[in-house]
Amino acid sequence: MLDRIEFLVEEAIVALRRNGSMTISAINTAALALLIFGGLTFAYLSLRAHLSTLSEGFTLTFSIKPEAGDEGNQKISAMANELRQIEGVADVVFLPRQATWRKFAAEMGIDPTELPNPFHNQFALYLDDLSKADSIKNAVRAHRFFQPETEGPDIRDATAERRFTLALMGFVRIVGGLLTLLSFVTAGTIIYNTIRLTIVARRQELRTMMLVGASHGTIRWPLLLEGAIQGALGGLVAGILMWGIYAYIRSQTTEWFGPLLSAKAEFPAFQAILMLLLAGTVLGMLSAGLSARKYLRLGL
Amino acid sequence: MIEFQNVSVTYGERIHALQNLTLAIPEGQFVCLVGLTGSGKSTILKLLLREIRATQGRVIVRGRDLAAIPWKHVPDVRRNIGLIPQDIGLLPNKKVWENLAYAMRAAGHARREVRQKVPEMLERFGVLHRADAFPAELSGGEQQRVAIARALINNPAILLADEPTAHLDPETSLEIVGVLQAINTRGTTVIMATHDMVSVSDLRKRTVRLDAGKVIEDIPEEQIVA
Repeated sequence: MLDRIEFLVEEAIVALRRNGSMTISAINTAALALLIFGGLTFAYLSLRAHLSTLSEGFTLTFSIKPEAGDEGNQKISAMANELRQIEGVADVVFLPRQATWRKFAAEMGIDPTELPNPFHNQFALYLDDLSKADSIKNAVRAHRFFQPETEGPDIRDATAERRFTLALMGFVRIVGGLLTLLSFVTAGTIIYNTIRLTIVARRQELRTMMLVGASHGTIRWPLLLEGAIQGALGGLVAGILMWGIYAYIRSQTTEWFGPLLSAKAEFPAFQAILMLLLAGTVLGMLSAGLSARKYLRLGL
Repeated sequence: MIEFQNVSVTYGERIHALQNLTLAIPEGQFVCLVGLTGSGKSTILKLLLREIRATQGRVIVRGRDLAAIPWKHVPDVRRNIGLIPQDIGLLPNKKVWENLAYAMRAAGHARREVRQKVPEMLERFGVLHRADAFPAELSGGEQQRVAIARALINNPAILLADEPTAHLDPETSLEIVGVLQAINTRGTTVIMATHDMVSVSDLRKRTVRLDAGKVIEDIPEEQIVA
């Protein structure tokens, strides 16, 4: 069995070396296609992860002035009651600034004791009627303890962010899907043609194999392996590139914007490289299989 | 036993490579297929290797109808038939021993068997001393001997030789025909397609003359001897 595998792998390696520049082109194109695929998949998954951190349902969040006091203070309880009276508000939850800061620091991977807490105490309002959102926002703004934010919207509307994130995910899914498809077809075509070239270049070996009664598998497998190796190497290159690019982006955004606004997600290097390796192998093997099916003549 | 029962092979609509051919070749026989180019000799060899199928009729080899053999079992048929191709077909970038080793490995033999059998075969056909040479460094006769050794690497019961003396001088042709004869005396059925009438007349074996895909003469060995 090992002897058999050794023979098949040797045959595939001979073909890879013989095709030289075509092999390099096939690997490069596969790497590019898989980089697009991997990058967009990572972007999509990051958006999905971000979406899961947003509150479910219709939620408005806003800061309150320090003079309102902290949790347990009567002013806070009174304010919560007043907010509950607004038409369209289903529930009110107080968000203490320390808890918000700890949660944020954990998400960012920073030590909350090293930096001052930039947050105010907050209230989250759960709405039962989205059409009342604007009137609720106006009522909140009119409250004496409402604290307008210095940057960004004065009231964070999770609904709008969810909607935007979902739209972005849809865009990535459609445009990314099309781009991935296009680049996969290109990479697949190059691998397909490389295998075609192998069949032409190795016609004497293939004929010898056929004449001595080599099984169809013995003749076909080195071609499939050749395609699989090209795809797998493409996947490996794409994975390493993606890792490098992400590390660069992360370091640059940290340098430019500081740790709070830098790229947040950890890059799952092992999973990404493994996934791209597998995707490349499948792409290569499929393209090689199609090419062998069309150009390999094994008799009737 | 090899039997061709009313076999016709048509390429496209106009080219009739074989027309209603009926021929029986008992096991262990030496048969010369002679005829001009396009007479159908190579088509007969291709049919036996299941490289093509008969348009009509049946080709039976050792009791099995070749057309009825499933595609995945065609390699089993080929392992029982050795072919010396017209172009010899040695791999130019491999040494003599590697050519044989490659054929054995492709047919599924282990390295251990290869190490044992390749020198044996090269010695049997008198080319062991050229084991490390590349095909281009061999004489025509030596190349043909290596091709014969390769064809017999799987111990086939049938050996097909397609114009084995085509590119050889008369002396070397006789030498190669002698090698084929020696193989035949060991019990291997040999079918030699040729238009080298000198070799055929020296051989004094059954001779089937073809013309335009039809058998026009079938002279048994006994009559040639007589």
